[in-house]
Amino acid sequence: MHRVERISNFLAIRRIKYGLLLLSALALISLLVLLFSPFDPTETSYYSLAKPLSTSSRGWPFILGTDSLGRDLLTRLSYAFYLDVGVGLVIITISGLIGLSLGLISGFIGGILDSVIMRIMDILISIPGFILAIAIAAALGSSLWNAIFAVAIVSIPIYARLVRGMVLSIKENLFVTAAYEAGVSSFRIMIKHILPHVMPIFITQASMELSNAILYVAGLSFIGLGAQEPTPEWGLMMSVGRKYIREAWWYPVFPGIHMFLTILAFNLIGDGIRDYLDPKRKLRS
Amino acid sequence: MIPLEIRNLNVDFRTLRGWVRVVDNVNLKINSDDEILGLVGESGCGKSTLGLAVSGLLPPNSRVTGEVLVKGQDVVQNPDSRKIAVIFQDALAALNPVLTIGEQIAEIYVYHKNMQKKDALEKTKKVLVEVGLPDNTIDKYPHQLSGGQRQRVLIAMALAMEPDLIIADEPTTALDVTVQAKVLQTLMSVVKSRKIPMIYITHDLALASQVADRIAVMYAGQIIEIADKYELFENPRHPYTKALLNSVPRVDRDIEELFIIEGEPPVPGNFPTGCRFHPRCPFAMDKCKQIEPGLVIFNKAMVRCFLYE
Amino acid sequence: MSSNGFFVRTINLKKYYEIKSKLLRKTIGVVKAVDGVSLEIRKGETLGIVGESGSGKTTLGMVLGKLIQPTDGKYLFNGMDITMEMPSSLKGKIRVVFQDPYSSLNPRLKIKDSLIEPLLALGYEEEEAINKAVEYLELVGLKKEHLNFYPHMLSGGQKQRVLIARALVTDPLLVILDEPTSMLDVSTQAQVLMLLKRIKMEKEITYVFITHNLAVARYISDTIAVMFAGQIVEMGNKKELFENPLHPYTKSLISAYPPPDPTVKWTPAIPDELTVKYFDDKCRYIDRCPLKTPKCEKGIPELIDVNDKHKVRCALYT
Repeated sequence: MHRVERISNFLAIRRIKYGLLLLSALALISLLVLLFSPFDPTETSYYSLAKPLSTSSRGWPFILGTDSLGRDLLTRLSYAFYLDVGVGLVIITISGLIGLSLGLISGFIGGILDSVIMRIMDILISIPGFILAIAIAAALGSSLWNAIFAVAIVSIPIYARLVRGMVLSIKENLFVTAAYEAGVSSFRIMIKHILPHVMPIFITQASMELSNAILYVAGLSFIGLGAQEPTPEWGLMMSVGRKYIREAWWYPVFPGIHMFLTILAFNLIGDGIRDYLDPKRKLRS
Repeated sequence: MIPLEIRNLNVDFRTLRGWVRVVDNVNLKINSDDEILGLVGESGCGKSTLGLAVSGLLPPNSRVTGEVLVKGQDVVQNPDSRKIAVIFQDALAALNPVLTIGEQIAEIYVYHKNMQKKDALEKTKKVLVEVGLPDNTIDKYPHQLSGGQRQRVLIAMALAMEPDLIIADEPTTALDVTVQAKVLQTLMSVVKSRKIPMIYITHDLALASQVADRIAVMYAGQIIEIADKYELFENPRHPYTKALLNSVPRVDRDIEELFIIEGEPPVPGNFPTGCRFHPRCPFAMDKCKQIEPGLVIFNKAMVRCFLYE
Repeated sequence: MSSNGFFVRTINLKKYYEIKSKLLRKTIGVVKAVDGVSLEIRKGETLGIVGESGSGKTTLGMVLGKLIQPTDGKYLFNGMDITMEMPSSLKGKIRVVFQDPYSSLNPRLKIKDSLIEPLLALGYEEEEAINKAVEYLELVGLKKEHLNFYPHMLSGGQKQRVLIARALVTDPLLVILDEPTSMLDVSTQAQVLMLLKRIKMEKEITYVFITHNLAVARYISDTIAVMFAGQIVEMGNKKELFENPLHPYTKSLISAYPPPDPTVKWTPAIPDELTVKYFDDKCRYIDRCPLKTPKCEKGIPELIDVNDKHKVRCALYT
């Protein structure tokens, strides 16, 4: 049992290491490009339309080529990295905080409030996420912010249910009854006794949801409901680039690879953390 | 050939800090088939581990050295020759919740005794009656029985094995005191009538005085006193034994002051040097802090204490 | 309803739980956890409540500790009716010590935080609270250094001491202890029991000590109440009760304890039938009682005074 523990422990840490390595590499490259790129991500250039690895009129290299409007791809992708990841973080923060609060209230207070909240969550969950996101984004209008809003709403139930389940079981602990006995107010019990026990699993879930969030936004942008031109965003770039796949294959392909690597990095990290925190591992302590 | 002889038994567990000795050089005997040996101690003393070692149920991260001779056969060397039944404390955990009582007991007859199903069922009914359970228990599921009834089922399962030795590890600790009394009466009567030797593990010295014939007191992995039960109560030798006897409240008399043993029982891996009881012993001498006492043998008792050397 | 001069008085206290069917939420049954308990406790007295599992003693403890609202009856404390509400003047004056030291303390909080929590809830400033915490920590035999420990760094006995300190830190007048030593080793139990006795003398606290262990009750209590099926079946001054047990259940319970003396024969007088049925029209002990008479079928006997120190609920004595 001991040996198995140590092996899976090792694998988990390795996963986290590689994920972090990949992520830092991507982040660093994108940062350097953004700092030193001579190109403006939105400045179009008739002269440099859809060129592969080549040089611009001013002598700077288009390392990954340009898109259909003559904009340097590498610069745009670096921008997109921070944009998409940033958007993902915003989404998990919004949906996480809302889901956390709903889950806490629902689990702790119970009763009718709990039933109502959970039924709403059930409704949201029963509709396939992406379809629901499309519906909301379409209803609100095509913009990046609306896409963020839509994806956030769709993600709330996961957190709410997870947190509620945890609250229900943590609530049964004797130290919670003891806190109630000591005269601590319900609100403080929720914050001081229950929340700290919820946080580790909540954060793990949120970090795993990050890749999902990015994918959803990119997906919405891909079908035109999210980011709009000229915003450099992976989904949008792949969507527009599709048309040029024969003449300028680099246009849709590089964003795809870039996004894939980023998501892979986040997934490795998330899986590694989850495995590391696996309850079966609690044997060690 | 005596029913049980344990020679120089050591049990070590592998922990994050290396190997830790939990049972230290234990020597015990059961001299006749109708003898019940009581093994008494507080938590961390190693009594349950000793029971697991004898019955071969230790987890993989453990190491056993020494000999456990059951009817002359060393079961440490030949684990497959073991015919030892264990009665655990938690009957609900020990019973399969999706099988009826009848199925679980009959299983023992079918697999261990190679019986036909029909005969196994007959035997099952008989053994259930023997432990004081009604016929219809055969078709019941564990959760449908009361705690006391479940414990009786465990006793029946132990008997079904027709073992050379029974180890009962705190079999009634989780039960109400009235239920405990009845179940123990049943247990004692069946092992005596079937002449099966038993090791009875408990933290309750009073129970041991009523159930067991001889009592071994364990502390920090070692046997620190063994005596015939009358001898132990009339003339307790080890300071720990004396302290135990006097620190328990009684139903039959008023006690002004309980005897207090300062400190807490030590944890394996952190046993004191020399005599392991010395930090808590009111009679500790300098010698006790440095050298481990050996067993001093009397007529009807053995003690591990320098007060007697 | 007056207290009759008693510090704590309960009059016919009841706690019923309704069992509702899952689908239609209709009441299909009632669990009468506490069914008509009348207690009278003097200031500074220790009342031991003894009962087996399911007898209702823990629920009674929760009601006395004001953690659960009773379904019926009255709870009088120092002359005040606190059945429904706790007046703010009594905040922190009734405390409960729970059974399991291993799960009663939040494993993520330092001992310091667990100890000052009840004081903070009363409005103390953190610094004052810490000072008080240290005072009580030392009272229970622990050290100031332990403030910064986490629960897992303490032994079971030490954890239980922390729980006792946590209850005492608000200077309570009444402390309900629910099986405080059941999960402790024999030697640790002795230490904790002695500690409780010493504190009671120093601080003049009234204790309600709930336990399934009659021997522990005998040691620590002044008065003992025996509970069966949600009701007190015998209650009296300790000496009286043990020298002259009246109720067949009490006698059976006493006989169930093995004498710690191999020369004394253990003769438990335990009936075969051990299930508990909550009759309303006859004595609840009837199926187990070796002495039952036709009178026992005529309704639940009242708890009557046999003398000024001894009450019993049994048709044999009415």
